[in-house]
Amino acid sequence: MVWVLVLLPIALGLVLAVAAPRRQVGVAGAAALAAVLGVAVAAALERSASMLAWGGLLQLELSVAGVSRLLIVLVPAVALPIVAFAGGLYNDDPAVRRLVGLLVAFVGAMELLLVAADLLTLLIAWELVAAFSWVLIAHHWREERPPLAALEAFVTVRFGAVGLFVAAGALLAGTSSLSLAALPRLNGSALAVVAAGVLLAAAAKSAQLPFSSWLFAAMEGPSPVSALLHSATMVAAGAYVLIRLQPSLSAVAWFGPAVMALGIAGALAGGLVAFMQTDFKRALAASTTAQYGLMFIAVGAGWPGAATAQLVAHAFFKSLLFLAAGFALSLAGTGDLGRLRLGRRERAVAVLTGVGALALAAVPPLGGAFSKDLVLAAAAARSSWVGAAVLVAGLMSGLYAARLYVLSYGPALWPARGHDVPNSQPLPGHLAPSRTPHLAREAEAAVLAACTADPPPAPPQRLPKLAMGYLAVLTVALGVLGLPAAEHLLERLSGASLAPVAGWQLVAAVGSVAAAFVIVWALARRRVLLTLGMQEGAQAAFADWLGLPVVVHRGVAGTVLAVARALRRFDDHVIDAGVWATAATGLRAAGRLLVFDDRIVDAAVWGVARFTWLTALASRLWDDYVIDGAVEGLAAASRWAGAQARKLQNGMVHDYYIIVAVGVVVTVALALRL
Amino acid sequence: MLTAMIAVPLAGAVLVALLPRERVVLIRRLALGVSVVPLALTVAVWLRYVGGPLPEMIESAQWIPALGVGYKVGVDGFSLPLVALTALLFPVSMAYPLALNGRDRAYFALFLFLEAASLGVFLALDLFLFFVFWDLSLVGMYFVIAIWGHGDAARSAIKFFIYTLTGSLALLLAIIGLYLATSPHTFDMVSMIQDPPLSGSGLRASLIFLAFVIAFVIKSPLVPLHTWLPPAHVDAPGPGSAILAGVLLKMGTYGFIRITLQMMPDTFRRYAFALAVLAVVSLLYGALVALAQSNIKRLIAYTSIAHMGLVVLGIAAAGGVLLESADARRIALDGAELGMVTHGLITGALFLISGSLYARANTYEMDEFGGLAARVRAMGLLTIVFAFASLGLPGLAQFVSDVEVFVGAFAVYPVLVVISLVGMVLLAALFLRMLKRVFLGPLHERWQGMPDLDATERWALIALLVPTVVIGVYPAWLIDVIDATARAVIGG
Repeated sequence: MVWVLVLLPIALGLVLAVAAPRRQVGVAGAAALAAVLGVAVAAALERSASMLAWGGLLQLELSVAGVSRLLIVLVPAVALPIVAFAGGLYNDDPAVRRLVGLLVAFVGAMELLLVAADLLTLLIAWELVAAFSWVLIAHHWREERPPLAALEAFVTVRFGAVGLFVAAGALLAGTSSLSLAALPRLNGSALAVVAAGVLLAAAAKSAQLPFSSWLFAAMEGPSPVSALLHSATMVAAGAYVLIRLQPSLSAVAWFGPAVMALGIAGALAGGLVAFMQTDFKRALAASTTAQYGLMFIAVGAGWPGAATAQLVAHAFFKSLLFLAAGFALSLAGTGDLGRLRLGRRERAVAVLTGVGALALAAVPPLGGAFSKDLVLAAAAARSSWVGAAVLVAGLMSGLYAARLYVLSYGPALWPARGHDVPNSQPLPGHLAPSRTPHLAREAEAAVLAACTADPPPAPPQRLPKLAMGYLAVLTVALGVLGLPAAEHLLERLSGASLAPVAGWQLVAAVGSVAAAFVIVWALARRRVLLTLGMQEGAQAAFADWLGLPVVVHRGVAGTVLAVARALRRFDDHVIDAGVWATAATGLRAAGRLLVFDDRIVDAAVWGVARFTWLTALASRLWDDYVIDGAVEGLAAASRWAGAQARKLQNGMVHDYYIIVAVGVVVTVALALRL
Repeated sequence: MLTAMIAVPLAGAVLVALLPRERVVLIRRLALGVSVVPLALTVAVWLRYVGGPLPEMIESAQWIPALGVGYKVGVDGFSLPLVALTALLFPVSMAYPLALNGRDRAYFALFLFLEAASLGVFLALDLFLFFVFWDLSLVGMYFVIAIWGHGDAARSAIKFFIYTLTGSLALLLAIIGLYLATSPHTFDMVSMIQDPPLSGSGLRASLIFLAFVIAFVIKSPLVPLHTWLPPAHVDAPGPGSAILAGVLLKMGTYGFIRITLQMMPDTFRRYAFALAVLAVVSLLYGALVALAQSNIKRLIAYTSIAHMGLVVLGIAAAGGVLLESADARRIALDGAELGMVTHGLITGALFLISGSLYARANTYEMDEFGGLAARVRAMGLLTIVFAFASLGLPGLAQFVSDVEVFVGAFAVYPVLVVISLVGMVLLAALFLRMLKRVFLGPLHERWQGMPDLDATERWALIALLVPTVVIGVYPAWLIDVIDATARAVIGG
């Protein structure tokens, strides 16, 4: 059963990619994932496990246990509406089948990651998830930017995967096993190595600092790809592995504090960036870092159950919000928050988006509120300072969620900077230059439509809206998280108890959200909600991760490339020439040695050999160093030397082989040349 | 049966050379037919192979008994996978289309000759025989590059020849040194493995070991004796590059296992760390220099150096300590041996593809391309798959060997492994960058009319893709064969 769970989506995805009915590809994809969902429920109920010998001492262990019982069901449940949305909205895209097929197959890789019970299987799934992300982010591969964005995402995450390789090596060295069950047998320093490796891998995958900027690059992918990446697959993998391994790794003293520190940094910086951003998808991307930061805090504080609750709640509302962004992009042709305000035009979608935004802001009684309360309780149980940081992060999520909603699907009451007409009816003129150069790809279709026809044709809407409705209903339904029964279930699945939520914490959480809403309302009244009253340059710098991408591109990638180029020159000129010189000297010495040994070679042969070496070396140096403006006489000499080298070389082979008594076979070889 | 593997292509080479020059189609068909025979024989051998600690299916004859030279061939877990790789790569490379400039007869005869010599290297169980085949393969490859190469082929061929001939000389001296240490004098490899000569002795063993290392470092190649490889690859024809990277380089790493590790275990242990450092330097250096290349074939050539560094790291770790962490070292050795096979399949395919690219565009410069996948879909798709295979994507063969070496070697050289893992990131970056520059992005107008891979090219590449996927998904059938022998080497 557990293998079916992994292989079924991959097989169905490949079939869909080549053979799905194009008009109904969204429905077909959703049907495929419904089947996967059924398998997932069955596997979760029977807690199936399996083992496969992979040769030698390697084996793959798969098991459905603990928190993965919940998450294997979550992944197809979230992916289903996303795939339906993609198939519905991009019906006209000739590559829609590839998109839907890959999204479905992606679920298989993620399921493998969730059921992996040893580090080898985990590593396999880890890299597969990254590869799927590469293909999906580069979906519009005929353009210049997406392949580069996909490269950045893959390489960043691969850098993190190095941590998993190290963790696997340390586990094997210490226990002769790669099974996660062997972790407790590891001694202190080896366990610390594993913890460091896992933390590196998780931070890169979950886009925590300093790896956050790959998420912005990944916005080059279509919106449904972002929806799946951020909610239930790629980014979720980082938090999942921490939740799963926290009980074993918490024995390392610095592990908890380090995870918490990363989480606090991510939650606060991500919140700030999300609040400053003027692009719909990028604001959501930054909020992803912030929300996963909260999960890190919970894990670091020692309460992985709270992180699980946050992961589940986040999966639903964040995928809903990304679909809303995709819808807005195809409707307005831009993701610029200064040009949206689609509230009047799309009332239904605005309501659904509002549900997602309220959950993101953690307004009770939505699930997002209860999960944040659990995180707050976990943090406060560890230290009041961490609790305070979570409260600030909560305030910020209220700020960016409210701002994002008002600017995107809010009522068109307050014109943004530079626009005196609200954009309820987008005109082709508005599609021209945008403040954010990284327009998402959905813009294309709208731009084309705007150029060719008078009224932009509305995108197909029934299936996309249905998909968003499904996610909104589930987001509301997650309000059950507030019930004690749900908490018990969560505790049972994660095998860890939840910190009790104190009354003052509830009040403080609700208060911070209310304060955030008031601030956003005040900013909106003063018509500075978009710009926040800042200089454009300063805001842009803040919004772009405070310059982190520049550091990554110029600092890291640029330095590596510069070193590589320097080494290339070194290789071409220094090493090559050096080897030839050394070889000539060495051979002369060897030649002298061998002179004494007339069984093997005689002095005459080596005289020839030495001469060959020197002429070869001369012609080599000539080519390297005297290229332009060569004197004709020298050129002729060089040609002559080259010719001599070749002639003498053949003679040398001949002699050499006669001496080693295999001349007969060489004659055959020479004969073959004729 | 093993003798037939060497004799059939050799006889085929003679036969092809005797055919009239004009019968091009017949020559090609006959040569391909003959080249498939060793592959069929390999399947038969594989099915009969038991997998004990010692070589099996030994066939031997007296040759020069006075000197202890004999004809002796056999297979074990180290040679059988390489024999299979060789037997697969030769028909695929020979079938691959190439402009032969009217010298079809010589080309096919030479390839069959080269196939016999290469199989001989891996099958030989007598050091003298091993050396003879080793040098014959060198001669064959020299002519392939010199005659059918492009660019500055003559010079690259000479460079290749001089370099590897130096290696051969070192190898010969080392073999004689080892031979003189046996008593009674013999070149028999099995007896040297069972009872290693020179165990624990000082300077003499060190010098002989050094000579072997020089020979194998040149052949593999490792930094700093690698500078023959890029020009040889760039100027060699595509199929020649595939054989050079897929088969000939493996002789170096095979020698590391077969001779230095198995026949001189004590000396090997003493110098294993130095060898591991050399391997890690090769890995990082190869990956970095590859990253800076603008020529796609040079790029692949330098990634070969990086991958060979990884293989040698696994070997060095396997022989680096006595008794301790036997399980991890076994995994590292399995991974090193497997890495030779996976690198042969994948890099061989990448070189064949770059040959196809050159045949269509007459250039290897990546910046002159762009967006090709829009025009040549099959080529683009296959390159993407093989590039991901080469950077170690799970589900494809290279990942299995990479993970075995890294994870296994960690027990012996943790710091070196952590450093070398940076190479994995570099490999990912450089391959994805190559894909972007050549195949993705907007299509360059110049290539609007580029034809896609033809049927022969597709089938040849699929013949390499199938084992790449099969090994990547379920490598047990191959690892178990290797592991039986690795276990005997490591103990435990």
